[in-house]
Amino acid sequence: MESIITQFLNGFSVVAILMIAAVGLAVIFGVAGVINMAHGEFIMVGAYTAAVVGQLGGNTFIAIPVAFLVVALLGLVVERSIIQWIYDRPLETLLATWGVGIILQVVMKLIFGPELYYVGAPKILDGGFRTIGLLPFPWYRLFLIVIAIIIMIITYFVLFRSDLGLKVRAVRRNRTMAGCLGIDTAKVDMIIFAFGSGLAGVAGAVLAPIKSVSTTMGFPYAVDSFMVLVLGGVGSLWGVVAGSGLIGEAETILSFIYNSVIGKLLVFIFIVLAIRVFPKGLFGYHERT
Amino acid sequence: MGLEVQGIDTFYGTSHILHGVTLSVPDGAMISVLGRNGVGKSTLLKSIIGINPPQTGTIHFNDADVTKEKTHEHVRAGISYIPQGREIIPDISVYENLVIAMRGKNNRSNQIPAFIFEYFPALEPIQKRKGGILSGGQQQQLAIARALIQEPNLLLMDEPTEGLQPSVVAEIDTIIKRIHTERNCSILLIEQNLDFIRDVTQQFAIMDSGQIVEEGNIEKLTDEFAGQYLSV
Ligand SMILES: Nc1ncnc2c1ncn2[C@@H]1O[C@H](COP(=O)(O)OP(=O)(O)OP(=O)(O)O)[C@@H](O)[C@H]1O
Ligand SMILES: [Mg+2]
Repeated sequence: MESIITQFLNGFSVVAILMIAAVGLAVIFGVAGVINMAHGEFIMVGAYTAAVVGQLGGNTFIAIPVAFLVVALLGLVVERSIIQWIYDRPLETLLATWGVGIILQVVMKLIFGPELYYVGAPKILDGGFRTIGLLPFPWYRLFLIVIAIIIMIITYFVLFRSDLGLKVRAVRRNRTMAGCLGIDTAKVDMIIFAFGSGLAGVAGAVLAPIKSVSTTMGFPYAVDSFMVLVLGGVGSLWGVVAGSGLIGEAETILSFIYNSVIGKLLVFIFIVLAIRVFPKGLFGYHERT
Repeated sequence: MGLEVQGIDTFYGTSHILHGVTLSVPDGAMISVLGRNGVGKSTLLKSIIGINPPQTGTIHFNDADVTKEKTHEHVRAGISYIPQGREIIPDISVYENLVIAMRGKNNRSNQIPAFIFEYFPALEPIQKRKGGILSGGQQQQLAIARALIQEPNLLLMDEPTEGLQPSVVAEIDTIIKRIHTERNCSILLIEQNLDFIRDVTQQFAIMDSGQIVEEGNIEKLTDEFAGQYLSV
């Protein structure tokens, strides 16, 4: 029983990782209506940014804002050069962003070579502390939980407590009328795409120390993020919290009881069943109108 | 000065809706447009505000060619639009509906100007309410307030009395007249209600099959005259 509780706590850090990874995807899909197939690669670019910051002597705390800016800029370039022309054609945005992902993998491999990069955690987050169970709980995992909460709060403020957020919600609800009220809807899309991309960059920066950095590292995070959105929906940020919470906890506990393959499989079956009951996810979603 | 619509043709996909519409709204004028359902009245306003811009013809506002401008650029230039059906953003509050209209005009204040609640005292106590749960009359007041807060030079109104009870229609009537005289704003008003048109506007235009077929001073708009175009 005690170890189940430990696993439950461990689960929190898995939940945190899912939230960090998924929120950028959720923002871009929920607001701009684009399913960003390059999401995993945006995370990967964020992780390489952290690796570079590390080699220049910086740590994760410095890498977070740098990765945000680098990947936000990348998102801006992708949006201005490609996405802005095809927003209302979902299939084409899917293919275009997928292509962007492939290009990013190739380009990063050309720049950084095939070898893996390792990014250390900041010194003060080394080691761990003992909980009720036997295994020590690493400080860095606690840090991830804190970061997840901070990211969700910042995203909440941007979307629900700022002028930009007001415009975003108006555009999402009634694009034509928002334009008729004087809102430059294309600019709102652009800013939101860059912001969501930047969040993916932050995900890469904070996930780099728990994973070796490679050009293909983003893929599993992208898959997990899509599962979170399918289950939680993107109608509200609660979708990300609920999706991450259910998947993260279920996977951790089931993997402990059985093993990680069966754990993942059971979670997958659970998601398939859940979307039969909630076809738009627990918190719904908006189609671009 | 004012609005000059010159021979515009507007389409929805391949259906040709407006056929060479020419209309001018001089500075300070108040003109109503009437016509049967489906003749293209709303389409005319949508062409002017840029939701569905014309394929040929030109639109000038205060001597600038605005034919190809985006909707938000029209708003910045001084044209505000009150659509048919009001289009209040339902899941944000009355206050936020007003604030977003101010932002659309680059007004960064969080304070709703006092004149708004002078025109619409009924909105003041319900500012926190979500737009979607307002009554039809309240929504129409909010829709007008939202346009008025932008202090436009030209107001485009699409059937502001549609579906409202007579007492509310009378209130809207008074408010439109006040806006016209007090806010230094010309008005292009789409309406079906003849008494209302005769009470608030000085000039009219009648549309039929995507064209303007009659224009003139309001005295000319007798029941018999309008009947030729409005009865089926
Ligand atoms: N989005 C659209 N797509 C295709 N056709 C449209 C669209 N909107 C309007 N139409 C067509 O254009 C024509 C003119 O419509 P419009 O809304 O301008 O009429 P209206 O004069 O405002 O009518 P009403 O008095 O009922 O409001 C109609 O035949 C209508 O079916
Ligand atoms: Mg109409």
